[in-house]
Amino acid sequence: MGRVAPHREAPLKVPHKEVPLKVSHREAPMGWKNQELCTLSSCHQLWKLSNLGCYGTHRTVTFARASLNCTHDFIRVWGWVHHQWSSEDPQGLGTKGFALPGKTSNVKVILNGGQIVTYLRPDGYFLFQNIPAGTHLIEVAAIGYFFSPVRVDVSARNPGKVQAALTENRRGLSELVLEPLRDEQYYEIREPFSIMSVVKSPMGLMVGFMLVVVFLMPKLVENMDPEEMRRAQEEMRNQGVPSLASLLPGGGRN
Amino acid sequence: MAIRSFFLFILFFSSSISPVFSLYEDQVGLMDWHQQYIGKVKQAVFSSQRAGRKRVVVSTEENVIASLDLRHGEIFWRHLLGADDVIDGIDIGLGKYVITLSSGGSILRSWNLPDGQMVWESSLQGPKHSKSFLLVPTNLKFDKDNLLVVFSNGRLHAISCIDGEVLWKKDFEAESFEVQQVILPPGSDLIHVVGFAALSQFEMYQINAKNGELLKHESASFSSGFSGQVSLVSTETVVALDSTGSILLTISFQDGKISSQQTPISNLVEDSLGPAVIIPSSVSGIFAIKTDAVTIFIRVIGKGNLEVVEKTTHEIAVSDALSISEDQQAFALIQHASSEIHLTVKLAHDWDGNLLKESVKMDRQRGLVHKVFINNYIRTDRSYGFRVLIVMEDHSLLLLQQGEIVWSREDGLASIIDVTTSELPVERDGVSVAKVEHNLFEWLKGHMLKLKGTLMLASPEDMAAIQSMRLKSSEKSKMTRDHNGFRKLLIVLTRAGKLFALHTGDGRIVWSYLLRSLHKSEACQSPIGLNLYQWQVPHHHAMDENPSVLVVSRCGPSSDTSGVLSFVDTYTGKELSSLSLDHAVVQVIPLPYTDSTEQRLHLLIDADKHAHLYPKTSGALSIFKREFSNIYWYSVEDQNGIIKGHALKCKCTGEVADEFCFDTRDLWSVVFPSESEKTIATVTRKLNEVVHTQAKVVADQDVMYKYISRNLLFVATVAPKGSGEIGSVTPEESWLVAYLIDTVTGRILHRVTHHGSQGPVHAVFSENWVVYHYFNLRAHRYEMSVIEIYDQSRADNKDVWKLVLGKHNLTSPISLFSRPEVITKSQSYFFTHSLKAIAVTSTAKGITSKQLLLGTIGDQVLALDKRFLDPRRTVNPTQLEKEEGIIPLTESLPIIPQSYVTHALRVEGLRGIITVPAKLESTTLVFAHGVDLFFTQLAPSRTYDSLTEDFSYALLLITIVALVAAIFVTWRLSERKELQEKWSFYSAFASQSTFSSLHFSDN
Repeated sequence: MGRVAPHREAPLKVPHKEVPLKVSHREAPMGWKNQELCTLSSCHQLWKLSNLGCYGTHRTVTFARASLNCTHDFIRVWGWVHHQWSSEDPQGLGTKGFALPGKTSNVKVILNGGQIVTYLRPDGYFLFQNIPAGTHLIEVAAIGYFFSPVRVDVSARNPGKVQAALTENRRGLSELVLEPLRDEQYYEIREPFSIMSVVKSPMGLMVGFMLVVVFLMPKLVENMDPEEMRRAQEEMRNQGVPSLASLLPGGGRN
Repeated sequence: MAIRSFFLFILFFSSSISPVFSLYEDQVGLMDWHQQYIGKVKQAVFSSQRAGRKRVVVSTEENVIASLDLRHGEIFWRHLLGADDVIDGIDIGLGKYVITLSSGGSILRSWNLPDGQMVWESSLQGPKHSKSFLLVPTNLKFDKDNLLVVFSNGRLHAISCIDGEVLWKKDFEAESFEVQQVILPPGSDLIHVVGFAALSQFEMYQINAKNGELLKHESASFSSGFSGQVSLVSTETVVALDSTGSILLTISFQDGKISSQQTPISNLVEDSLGPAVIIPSSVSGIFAIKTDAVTIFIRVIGKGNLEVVEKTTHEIAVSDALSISEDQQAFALIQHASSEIHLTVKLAHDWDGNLLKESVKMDRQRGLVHKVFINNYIRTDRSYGFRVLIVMEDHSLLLLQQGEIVWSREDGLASIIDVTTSELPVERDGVSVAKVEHNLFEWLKGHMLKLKGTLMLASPEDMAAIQSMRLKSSEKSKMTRDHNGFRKLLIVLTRAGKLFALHTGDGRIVWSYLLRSLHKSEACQSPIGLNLYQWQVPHHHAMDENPSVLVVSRCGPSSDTSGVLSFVDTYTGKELSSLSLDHAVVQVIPLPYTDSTEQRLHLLIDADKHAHLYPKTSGALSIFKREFSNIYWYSVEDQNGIIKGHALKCKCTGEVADEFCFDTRDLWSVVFPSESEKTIATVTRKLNEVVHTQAKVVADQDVMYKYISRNLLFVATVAPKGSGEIGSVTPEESWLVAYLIDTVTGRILHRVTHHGSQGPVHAVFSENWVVYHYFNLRAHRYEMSVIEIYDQSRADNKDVWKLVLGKHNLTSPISLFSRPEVITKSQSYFFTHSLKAIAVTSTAKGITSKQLLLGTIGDQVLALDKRFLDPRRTVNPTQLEKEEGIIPLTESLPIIPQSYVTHALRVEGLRGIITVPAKLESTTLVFAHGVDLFFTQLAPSRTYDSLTEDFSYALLLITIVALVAAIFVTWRLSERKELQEKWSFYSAFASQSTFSSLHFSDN
């Protein structure tokens, strides 16, 4: 699935075959009795509330007739996972030898910590059927992306009313479109070779220290007051501390 | 001041390594390995596509559907369905869609065959629970659309293959109707649904496949009733057994008329056999019945005349029928003969002629053949060749073709029950030393390459060479013990009752052993493996002994069936001995004592609360008697919400004198009110955990003493209403209570209630702290809490003298009435993901800081530093606290992608995480298992005690050379300088003396 998500104005594109029968709000006011929804004509219908859908299609309607109650036996929570998969990823994930598996076929949508697991359709839609009223949690497991879990409230009193919010940042969702909050980069990036990295390494530090001793120390010594220097040298001589030169081979000969 | 600067130093280092576990992309596979499995295959469907790669689609008992390469057995794609989403049937539709029916026939999905992308998903409801059938007719068309016929939940559906839409459906609402078969006679538009009603009624429905119209409904009653399944012998004839299992009923329903014939089995076979069962098969004209000892194949001739074609006492497996031409069906038959299996492929109408007869050598450790799937191909000479896929008793999957095993998959490893580890043998003279570093030049060359790599000078070929060199390093897969303790054997017990030894270096199977004690037998009907324990871990004086493990198993699913013990050598993989116990095994308590041969003492508690000591030797008994009064244990009764403490009382007072059997007594019990609390999790510390220090120095030079006790138990209870799924309760009616209980005295040391919280609870206990994960309904987020428990009675021991002479918790009496002076600190944080497992790293000496390993819902393992779960975190830590390494408090725990231990991999179906200390203190070994296996090494505080793998020896050498050169250069320089200085000194002295003399003369 290489395509970048379609435009935002049409994320609620209804999955094929479930073409909505236009039910305007006049025909279906807020207080619409759920039984009516269930026993309405057998053709497809879509009832949308604030863009968050609970559908009754003719499949579910017949079932509802059998159970005589469609309040929450057949509520379906459905949504859409917005994805920018790696083939067109500007950061070039997976362009190196180790491709990040970034296909929609590897994305799982999980309800309530594993109660129901579903997969995405090619167009990114997912669907949970027969969700009881209550508060639920939807998680998306996709390697390479960080998705926030989504809190979904399925109303018991007002069937079909579904509210959703991201739990990570408590942002309410007007439509159940799940987007990754960020990419996940599992590997450290190898820093390109730089002098600093060599200098910072333990051996670089060692060499640096040596250089300081070799080149800066004589300078420091030079900058010292000759009087003091002489005194120091005398002191050293008195104490019998061998000089650097005398330590080195052949340094003994003066 | 010195200490403070030391802390600053530590802080500098610790802050610079916040994502402690991090990996470069090219380091994948150096220390870790990942293996993918699918589980025991339930059903296999061969893809009949002429072009492209040959595939087989399988569904397994682990709820996996997978597409496998038929040539090599590799996985093309794989999906793990939810735990409750058990697969009922799979098939291939239109040659390009994999259709799966799951969740008791209520979810139908279609997957794209080439890449595994889900195409559509349909939910099928129905009036009542029933058997489910999935049929994909090849000839049934409906507006250019192929139909799928699904019978599930008492309803027959016809579903479009392209988009999953239900085209028509038909309910079978009769209360007692139990569907047995759904038949699609080829070349017609009819569907036959046959089944039983009211135990003795045979019902047949004929349905128009175009529109679901009921065309005919016939029924006939059979006074003798039915038992078990029916076998379909033709599209219009079924065979069933009567309720006694001794009379065969041949029922045909030609043209909608039911006619039947009864044949007692005794008429067919002379000797009486006892009740039989029908083995379901789809071979036309032939069916099989099985009694305890014999399998009989019976042919149906004409209208209900039966004839026995073969009778065998061997274990036998039959495949389904494969139609090879218009009117010919072939099927495969596999029979066992000692170390071989005989494969025969026969035509359905011709029993005596064999299309194929082959013998294949089979490893005895694979057990019996459980399932056979047959597939044909056309050879170059245009004759038919056959290949069969077989599923063995150990859950492995093999492909046989031309008398050979083409490939095999060890899918038993997808269902691991328990894991333990064993050391490898010590390197001896006979074992050759590493052959990698065979010559210095090669070694140097390798390191030069690596250096080029780190300096980013290497060409792509060089990089490839470096990578292969690193991965190949045979050092890590050697079969001997190493200095750092990285190489070990992972001993795993699988659900099939097979033991595997995996090498930690590369994950290969060193040996495998199908436990003989877990075979079905007269005494042991359905044996199941339970646990693995280390039985004998030789060190010191018993170096020559091989270590061994104890496998505890049980003869049935209920806990009062008798137990079986087996002892397996971990070097050779041979069963040393096995014991059939005459008592049940409810609890196994490994005791911290070993006998003279370093066999560990184990106490087995049976259903009557007797304790049995193993090994049954006098040496063990004398050790045990010495420690008799020091042995305590506890038991948890989940249903009643009771936790009980036990101790030993005296020798068994039963009729049989057994000196290894002991009576027990109850010491204490904690009863949770059943109306408000239900136990959902109990966790204790790992038995072998090492704690380095009991004291903890906090910022202001203060000392806190950790309350370290092996007898602490963490218990989590929830409101009974809230024990279901998330969202089933409101925050007001749900709560979670966490307890810390001393299991010797039964005293509750700490109790905390989280209002508005719910399970499931995942918890881990280590040292003096417990971390648990649960769901907060008010915030609607997962939360993790930490409880740390400190010993207050020793809090006054501030300096060394007091520490030596001061109060000690050993001197305080242990009794239920003495109140231990403990304080607890706790804190809670939000956590994003659901968890599947939780573990904590463990190291050899317990010095290294700890990391929590969280198995997330996405089947990844996240390493989280314990410092993030420190109850002393505050929003604004003081300077002192910062120096100590306390992280400012945040609302939620951070998820750093680089600290995923499993990096970009998934351990599909993750169930458990096991950590084992290596010998090197900084390092711990991590093994995560589920359907997949994953192993890696972790260093929670970096490898401070050894050079890392990418340490560049060449750079070190170059530095040394450069330093030596520098020494000589500077020596030369300094010599020259000294000479110059001397000259200048003398000349200066000379000039000065002349100058001063002039000066004096001026005066």
